[in-house]
Amino acid sequence: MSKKQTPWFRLDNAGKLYPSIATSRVSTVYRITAVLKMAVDPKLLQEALNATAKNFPLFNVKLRKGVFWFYFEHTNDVPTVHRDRYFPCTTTSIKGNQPMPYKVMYFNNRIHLEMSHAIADGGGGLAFLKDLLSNYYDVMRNIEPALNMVSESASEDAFQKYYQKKIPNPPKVEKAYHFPFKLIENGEYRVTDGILHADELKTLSKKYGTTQTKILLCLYFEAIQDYIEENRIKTNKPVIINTPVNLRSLFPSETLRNFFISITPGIDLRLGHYSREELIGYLDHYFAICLNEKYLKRYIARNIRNERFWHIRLIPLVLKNLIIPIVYNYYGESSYTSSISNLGPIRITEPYGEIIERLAVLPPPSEGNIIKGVVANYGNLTTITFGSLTDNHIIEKKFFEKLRKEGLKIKIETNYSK
Amino acid sequence: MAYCSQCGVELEESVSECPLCNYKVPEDLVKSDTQNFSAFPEAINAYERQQYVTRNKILYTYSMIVIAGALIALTLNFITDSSTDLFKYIMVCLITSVIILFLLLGYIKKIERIIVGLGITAIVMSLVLDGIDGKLLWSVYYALPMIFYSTLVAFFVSKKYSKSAYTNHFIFIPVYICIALAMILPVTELVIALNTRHRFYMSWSIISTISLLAFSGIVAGLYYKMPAYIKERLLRLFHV
Repeated sequence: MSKKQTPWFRLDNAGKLYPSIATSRVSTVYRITAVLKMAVDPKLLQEALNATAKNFPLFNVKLRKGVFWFYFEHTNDVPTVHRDRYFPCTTTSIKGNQPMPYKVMYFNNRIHLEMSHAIADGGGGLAFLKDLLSNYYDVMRNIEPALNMVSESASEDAFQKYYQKKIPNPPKVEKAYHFPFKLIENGEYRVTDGILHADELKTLSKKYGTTQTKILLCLYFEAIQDYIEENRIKTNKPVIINTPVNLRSLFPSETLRNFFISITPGIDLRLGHYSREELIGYLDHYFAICLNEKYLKRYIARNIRNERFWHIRLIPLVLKNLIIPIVYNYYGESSYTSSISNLGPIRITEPYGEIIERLAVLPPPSEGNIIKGVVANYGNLTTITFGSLTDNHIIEKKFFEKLRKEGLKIKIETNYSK
Repeated sequence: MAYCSQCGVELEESVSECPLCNYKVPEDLVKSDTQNFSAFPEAINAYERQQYVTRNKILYTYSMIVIAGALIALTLNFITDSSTDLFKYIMVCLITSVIILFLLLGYIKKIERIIVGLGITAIVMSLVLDGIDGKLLWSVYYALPMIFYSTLVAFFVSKKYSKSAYTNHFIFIPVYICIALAMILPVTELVIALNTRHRFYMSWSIISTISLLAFSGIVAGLYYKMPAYIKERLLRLFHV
């Protein structure tokens, strides 16, 4: 009698890294929040989640340890929704006996989805949340949620699909300046949400003849530059901001797993003060050079090449778990000062969108890059969320002050205000 | 809707201070009954909770082992010849080990307090162990000055580290430990020399101190690279 084998699959190229580096301070878990126009009913949310879990078998998995790599094993369990009680992005550990690499929580009028980067990037998480919200809308109206299982192509490893052998490596990135702020207690995470009108931000970007991502990056560079200059900090390292790029727009793929790389615009303050025009000019040119197939193919090739080296593959997982955090810290985290990610305009088909006020995305905490930001745009509201592992909020303050000086109306929400 | 009068951002109604410009919102404008619409809960630190449970498990398990060990020692003391002081030595060591484990498990938050606690425990243990035979000798001449000085050094070095700008850079922990050891070892040798040779004498501690300081300097230097002015000075001195 043959025993039925549980289906399993390998982690994708980017995902392979995350379980090995995950700690309480580098949780590699991000949070997507949907702020609804009414209070959340946990019973209805559970019903909606049961339906969504069926639609996304890709995410219904447990992380298991192999001899050489981690892998995901399918499960039929569905997680229970919880009231949000803990600091964000700190409790979804896929290393322990947690059933899933994601967690759904609620608080007042908010639905939170916390997802591990080991299984999916923001694009995958967003697809899951959209389905959850549409099912929640249905169960609110006593409609049976539809079974819309994601296609086979949603689980493809798009990095492998677009890998080409004979492509040179991208240029090496310098070591970057890091904020000298003291870390907060282990297990805590500070959140600063800045909510603004999307049309006002659009007008601002038009005023400077650039895009929303670039104007926000420009203001962020300015905020860091002001901080360094005002405090007379002498650094021989450049300020580099990690900007993740969703590769789906350039390399067609329906994958819901990780499919992004990071570009790294940077300024060297030893060369002098950068004016706004100089920064925008630099970012326009930098983005034009980077955001094309030829340039990005080199990053895909490098990542896959590193994964396919036979001597790396043969290192036992126990040793990989010791080595990978050091390598990641040296080559990854030390090359960025901070990070800003723009998810762009998020659309939810009507009528499901009518229950949603706005969406926000919180980046994973990171010990190497203690302040990170994500921009999410839904309807006419843009939410800029900063996650920080320090009690010094001078950078966020300077950034929002710059937006205020440009005449934009901002609402600030934090989890640390008195 | 509440707005900050100073910087103009919109605020949550329950907030008493603007998170952007730290402007104090007038008390009568702060609403305390807005819990139902607040954006974030009063968050619990899951890590701390988990750590607390793990700490309790370790301390409880070890305490049980110590009680079992003490009972075995007590029984053996009754059965066998009880004229020796072995039972007393065992009991002192067992009790001290529980206190040290309690201090090391981090029930006390501040590192300086833990260091002082460890110092006091070590002094008391030395005095009690030495005093079991009715005479106080090595504890007064050797242990007391060494423990007192080591505690003092550890206290000030840890204070200096926690106030430094490098607390995020964990590479500096071994650097600071080496500096502390470099300060402790010469005094240790001095205490031994004064008691055995009855004169000032130093040998191995100088070598270890120089080595430790050199190691600290190299690690810190490699990590942060050398400042430009030191590079220039070295270049001027050693250029070929």
